[in-house]
Amino acid sequence: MIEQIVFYTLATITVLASICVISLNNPIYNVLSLVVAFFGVAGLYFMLNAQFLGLSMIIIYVGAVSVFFLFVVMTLESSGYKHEEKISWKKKALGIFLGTSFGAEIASIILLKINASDFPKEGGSFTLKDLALSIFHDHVYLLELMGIILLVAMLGAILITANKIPIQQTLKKQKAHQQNERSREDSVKIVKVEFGKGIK
Amino acid sequence: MGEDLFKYLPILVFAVFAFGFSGTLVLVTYLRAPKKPDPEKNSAYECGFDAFDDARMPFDVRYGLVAILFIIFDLEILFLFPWAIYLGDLGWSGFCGMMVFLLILILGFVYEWKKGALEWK
Repeated sequence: MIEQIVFYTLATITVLASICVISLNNPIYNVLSLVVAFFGVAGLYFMLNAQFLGLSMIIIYVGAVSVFFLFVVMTLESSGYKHEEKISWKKKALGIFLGTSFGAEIASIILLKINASDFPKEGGSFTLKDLALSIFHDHVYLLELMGIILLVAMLGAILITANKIPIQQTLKKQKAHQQNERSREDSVKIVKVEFGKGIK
Repeated sequence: MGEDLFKYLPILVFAVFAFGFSGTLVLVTYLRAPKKPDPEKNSAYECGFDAFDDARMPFDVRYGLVAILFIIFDLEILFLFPWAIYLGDLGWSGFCGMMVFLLILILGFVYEWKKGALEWK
């Protein structure tokens, strides 16, 4: 009973937030509703007894991805905030394609009667230990492959923004080792100045 | 399952308290704060800045770069959690696998550092 109440609360929050993501006109509000939707999905993962997945959802999506989305929205030109009057047929076609494919996925889940309890669950028969063994023992090559993908993403992000960033030499920064290696002898000299002569 | 959910009761209490506390603060300041509207308060400052402006100004692209790098290192940290907990069961192969993964990302980190992507003028 209480389980159903919690489930329907979380599901309602997720669905309402998702509707807000696509229907509100201010992009900032869209991103913030996306954060709420992520929280709802994380709660649903907790209900499925997949605590690690729920926590990683919060850490990655709420913590990092939404911040990235916020910065993407904020780096847009201010003209990007205006609501588009006419949506081009390309965007419409893409939207119809994505919408129907997602709808077909949902329909296939309902029609084929795929039950969530058929999948391995964390906490039940599939524990975090099994997850760790599967990542770091059975599929360790996939982990290295993922490291390379992340490396490519990192290098790509740096290269895209590289022309905005000055190269190392032009940066004004302290050279700590040079400062420390200076001795008193080659920096300071004490001279007796005769009156009226000055220093050459 | 019903009893399992009670383990999350502290989170619910915490959430209710957080929402209640912040809501009360907003409500009390809205009700109790002195309100004296004056056209002078809306006019431009003496230095020439407008008192109210559009907050949605474009940001430097570096913020986006920092956000992308944050996502990548966040993912790296996420993989460290199960690895660190079950390191004893994983043995040397698991240890070396993670070290290679970290090494690949450290390569990117060194490139990022040398390129000056983390520097601010």
